[in-house]
Amino acid sequence: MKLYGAHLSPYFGRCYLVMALKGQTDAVELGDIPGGMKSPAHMAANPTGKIPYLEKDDGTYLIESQVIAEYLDAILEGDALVPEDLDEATHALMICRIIDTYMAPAMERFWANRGYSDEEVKKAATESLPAAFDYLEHFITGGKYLSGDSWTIADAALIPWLFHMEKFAKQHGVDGFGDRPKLQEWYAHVSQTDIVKDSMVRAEKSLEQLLAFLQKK
Amino acid sequence: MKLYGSSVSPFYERCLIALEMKNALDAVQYPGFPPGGMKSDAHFKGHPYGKIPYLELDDDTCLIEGQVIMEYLDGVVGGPTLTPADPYDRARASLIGRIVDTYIFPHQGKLSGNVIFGYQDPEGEQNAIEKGIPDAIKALERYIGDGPNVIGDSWSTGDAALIPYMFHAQLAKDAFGFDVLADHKVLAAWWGNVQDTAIVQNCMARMQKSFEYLQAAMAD
Ligand SMILES: N[C@@H](CCC(=O)N[C@@H](CS)C(=O)NCC(=O)O)C(=O)O
Ligand SMILES: N[C@@H](CCC(=O)N[C@@H](CS)C(=O)NCC(=O)O)C(=O)O
Repeated sequence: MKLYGAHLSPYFGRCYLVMALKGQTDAVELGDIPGGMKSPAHMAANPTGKIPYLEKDDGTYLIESQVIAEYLDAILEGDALVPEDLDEATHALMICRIIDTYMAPAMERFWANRGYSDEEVKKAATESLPAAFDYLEHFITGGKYLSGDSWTIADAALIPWLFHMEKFAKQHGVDGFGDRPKLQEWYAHVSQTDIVKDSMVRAEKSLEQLLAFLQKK
Repeated sequence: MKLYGSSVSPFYERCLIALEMKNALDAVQYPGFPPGGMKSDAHFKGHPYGKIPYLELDDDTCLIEGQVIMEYLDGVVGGPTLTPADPYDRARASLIGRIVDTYIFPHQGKLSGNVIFGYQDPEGEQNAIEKGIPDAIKALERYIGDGPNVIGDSWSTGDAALIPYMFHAQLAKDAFGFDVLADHKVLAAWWGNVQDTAIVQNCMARMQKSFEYLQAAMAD
């Protein structure tokens, strides 16, 4: 199996974190997109032209980070990150969904290459992102993890965004999770873990690579 | 359990059709729109974004997001499972819902929004027809199997997520002459297999009724 993409992508990061949290980072090969983003090979593998995508050993592909993450969780050894208990699983998956549907679009507005207007960026910083944080605050369990009392797929979904908060959202005046005690408590705990520290380092390195690549072009 | 919303919403209707596939429509109550109407205090209490659907559980807590609610109902209610046992098939089933939500509806919403609410966005509508929806269907078709259902020969959450889209596709065909099935043979083959089933007919009838109700309300 081979996972295509780069660590700077929080969607790729979610899949990688599932492997890391299960202690299975060696189980899947990692690869750059053959021919680069939107190359014919990329579009053939994933018609949406996005990363990440997973190539299975039989040559078929899976797309969409959340789907890939759940698939890897199901087939790799290690602790289940989608809990076996239905209520617990539903909670964790709902948090992932809130991250994807409401938080990610706001956070993506801080990506310079997307060409958003100043007004759109400002709206993300002052309205949509704070609203999404409020919703997360409303739904998360509280404590050391986002859902229940151990790592789940929900943590894997949010952790990769921490780098983007630090690096990009901050520049637009978003100061961490603000006055939201449950998110703060989560952050205080996870930011001390190797899981998060390593994830920040991977993303930083990936950003440097991207900048070097863009400079060469 | 109470499921709030309206059948013209594909996110709501996928929960209903899933329950019907499980022969379990009566496991849940359907109060319709939130008490006091959309964006009432009661609505925001149940759903912090003021959207539908949401599912009120017996302990008064609420679940949101159609796909999440559908998967929960599949697990908690008796009847045949809609979640394939094989991990790859399971991934395919959930990808169908994901592609419908993430890649089709942001575009289809432009067309349906025009038909249902009279919204005007000519550029968005044109882009939906020429690029947005065709591109999304191209990705979707990879994960539809040989039939008769999306995955093999039994209903899954993939069918439940995709069938309500077909009602909206019909709205777009009637209003814009945009026939999504014309250029998408895999989707068309799947639809040919399932469209005459009672499950699909009942779903279309619920959506039509809800659509007409909304039209009448809009006219007032
Ligand atoms: N919904 C997708 C989102 C993936 C996504 O947007 N990836 C970005 C990189 S962070 C991408 O590939 N962008 C390229 C593009 O949209 O053209 C997922 O969850 O996998
Ligand atoms: N991501 C949500 C989408 C739900 C949604 O957009 N519902 C629409 C009706 S189809 C709604 O409630 N719109 C009212 C609003 O956004 O104010 C889901 O999958 O359930």
